[in-house]
Amino acid sequence: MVLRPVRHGAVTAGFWPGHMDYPIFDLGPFGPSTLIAVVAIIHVVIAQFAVGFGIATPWLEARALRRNDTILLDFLRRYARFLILFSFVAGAITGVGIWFVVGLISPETIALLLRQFVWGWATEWVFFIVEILSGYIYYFYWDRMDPKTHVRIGVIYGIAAWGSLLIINGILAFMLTPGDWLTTRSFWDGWLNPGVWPSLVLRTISSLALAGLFIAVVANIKPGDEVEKRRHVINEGSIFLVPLALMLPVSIWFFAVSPAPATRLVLGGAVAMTMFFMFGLVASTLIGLYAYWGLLKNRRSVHLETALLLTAIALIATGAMEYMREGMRKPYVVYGYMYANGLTQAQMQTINQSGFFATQPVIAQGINPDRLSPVERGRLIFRGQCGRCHTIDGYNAIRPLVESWTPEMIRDNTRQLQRLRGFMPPFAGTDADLEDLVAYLSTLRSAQWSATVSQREAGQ
Amino acid sequence: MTPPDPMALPAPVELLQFLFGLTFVLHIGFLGLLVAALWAKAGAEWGRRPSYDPERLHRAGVLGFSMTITAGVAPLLFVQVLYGKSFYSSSIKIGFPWLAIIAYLLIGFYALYLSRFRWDKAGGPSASGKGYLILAMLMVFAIGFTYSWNHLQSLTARPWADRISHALAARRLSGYGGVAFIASAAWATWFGRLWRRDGATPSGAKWASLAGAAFVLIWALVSDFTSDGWGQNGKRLLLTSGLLSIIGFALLWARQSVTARFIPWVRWTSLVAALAGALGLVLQRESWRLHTLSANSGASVEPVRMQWGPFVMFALALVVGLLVLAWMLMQVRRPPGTSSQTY
Repeated sequence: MVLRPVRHGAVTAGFWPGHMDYPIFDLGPFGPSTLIAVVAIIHVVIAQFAVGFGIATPWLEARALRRNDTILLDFLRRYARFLILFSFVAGAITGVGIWFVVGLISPETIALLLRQFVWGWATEWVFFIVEILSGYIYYFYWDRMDPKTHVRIGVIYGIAAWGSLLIINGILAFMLTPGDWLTTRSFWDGWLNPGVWPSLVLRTISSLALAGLFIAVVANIKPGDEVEKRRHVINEGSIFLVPLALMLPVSIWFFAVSPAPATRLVLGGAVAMTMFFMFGLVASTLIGLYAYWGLLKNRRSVHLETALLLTAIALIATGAMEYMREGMRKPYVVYGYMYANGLTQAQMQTINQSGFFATQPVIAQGINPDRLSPVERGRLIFRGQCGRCHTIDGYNAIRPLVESWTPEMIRDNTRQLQRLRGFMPPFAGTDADLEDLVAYLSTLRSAQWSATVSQREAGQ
Repeated sequence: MTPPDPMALPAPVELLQFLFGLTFVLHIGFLGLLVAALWAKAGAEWGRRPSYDPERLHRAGVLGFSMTITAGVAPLLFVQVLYGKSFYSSSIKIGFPWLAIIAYLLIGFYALYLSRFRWDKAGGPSASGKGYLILAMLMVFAIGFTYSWNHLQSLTARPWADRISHALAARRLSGYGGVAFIASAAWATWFGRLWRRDGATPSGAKWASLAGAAFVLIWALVSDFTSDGWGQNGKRLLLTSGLLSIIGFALLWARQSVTARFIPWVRWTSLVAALAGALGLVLQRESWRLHTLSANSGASVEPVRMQWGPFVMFALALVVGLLVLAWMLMQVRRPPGTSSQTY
């Protein structure tokens, strides 16, 4: 079901009329952030593998050619198919998918990012075109062109893949560390923001590691291959896992340039985030150390089950790090500028003065908000300000949070959300708007609790 | 000091419109390759004497699919920069069907691969191979339909208006589909002989020309165009595209009696027809956007803050990228080795 807003009242001068001047996409109990997380994590894993492949494979191919290593060359040809079937299909499509999902859930965010960085996105598109074409040529023309040229095509693929990471990483890092952009609004200040380099190193390490782990998996799935052949290929690929051991110093660098409140959230402020981060850090470091001592130095091998286990741990660690990166931005989507509900700080002030319905045309078509009941108006305010993160009964549900609260508690807590929960945006609106929201949230209380609360109130 | 408006347009409207048009034509071009590969594959699956090289045809198909998606990213980018407000509203309005495009893409792409796997396994046409191919075709159609639906929805004066009917979206798809067929004929006349063992131009090229001409001419005659220069030029280009395609069809039909030196004329006719059709669609779409959206959320009334430095970065990347692509294609054109690679 889609809410149908209609323009109501005058849009305050200087107020960007795009905010919430949209229908609302309702995902029901699933929750918008869940959908973004699922699509984004799948895409990040596949895209980072594509980047790692682009660096690892031409390098290994050149090395194999120099040493006339036919075992490794045969493997790499097989490994390239993995890129085509896995990365070029699911990777490319989930990349488009993220764009679609964010456009549906948070159009203000994507509109801001596209307008600020349109030439960055366009440059990435050029890299992307080169990446796809060079990738296909690299795969389809294996053994059909001279080896040196083939390696060069692979290097072009690697540069294009890493180049697209370079561009997109700047834009993603901007969301957490916009730096001087907050005052200059300059493309370069935004893109070359304080977090861009540590983020790039972290993602590059992660990309190389995924390529190395997938080498171990693919080496194990060809039936009939001798143990020695498998060991040789896995040992050759294990060098790309070693940089994982650098996760700790690079993470320290990353936190050093991140906003202090965001860093505090990860380092103890939010238990879930701390756990995710610690898991990601410890798992990555251990895999890196194991790769160095076990695979590279002592030339050990791993069976398919072990390779899959290591890959699963790495994938969970990658997902955990991405979750942390997304989570530590809260309550913002662009730190210090735009809140998670799509409101900028300036818009918050406007709404506080003029009221939610004077500036937000989020009302059912043809209905005057003055004729709605407080509960109905409160429902619209909830959907407009809270619905990006909260569902009623599904993911991050609001009902369990408020069902035991009295209206006074709801009112007091909502008034100072940003103080009680640092990762939540402050409530925007007048006292009348707040009362409408309280009226709506009070209806979410269970009958049992409502009766209990009523009895207590009657007793008083 | 108040910081500049972060939501100002990053370039003049005309530049963004030009880039949108350019990249949309490119997107349609690669869509033509995909459509050509699909009907050629159908010819291989259902034809009585299939003479296609399955591997080359498969490569054309997956390259067409990949490049259609990749090339389609850029026009989507420029449309969102120019008309984001109406675009996001219409996307939200059709919500889940819009989101389903991701599934259509995944299913369609993998169905294309599966049809190829089945061909290898069965040693030729098979019932399941046909099924996978039909599935891929259906997915391509569903994607086109959903985009058309979103585009029409975005032209409504009120972004949160009721959903427009499926019939309207289907009707609009005839223009888009017609140009895609004409573009597919262009690919087939230029490169189709490479997909066949006998080196002949696929006979499907003439039928694609005819079908494309029919759809485009009907679309040009029954659909609405704005009365301004853009709209009328768009109509003229679409009519030209349809008529050239009919000429192309006639030449291909008569190609048995046409001398070899006449064949380049067939190719150029089909190429110009495809370009005219794609450009006609661009002008028609843009003229309607300007006509309908300027009063509500048109880009033409928004402040502009040109980002020269980043634009130069993009332009340089584009030039270098094109040079790299040219170099790679030159390497591909060198005589191939002896080994073959299949899945």
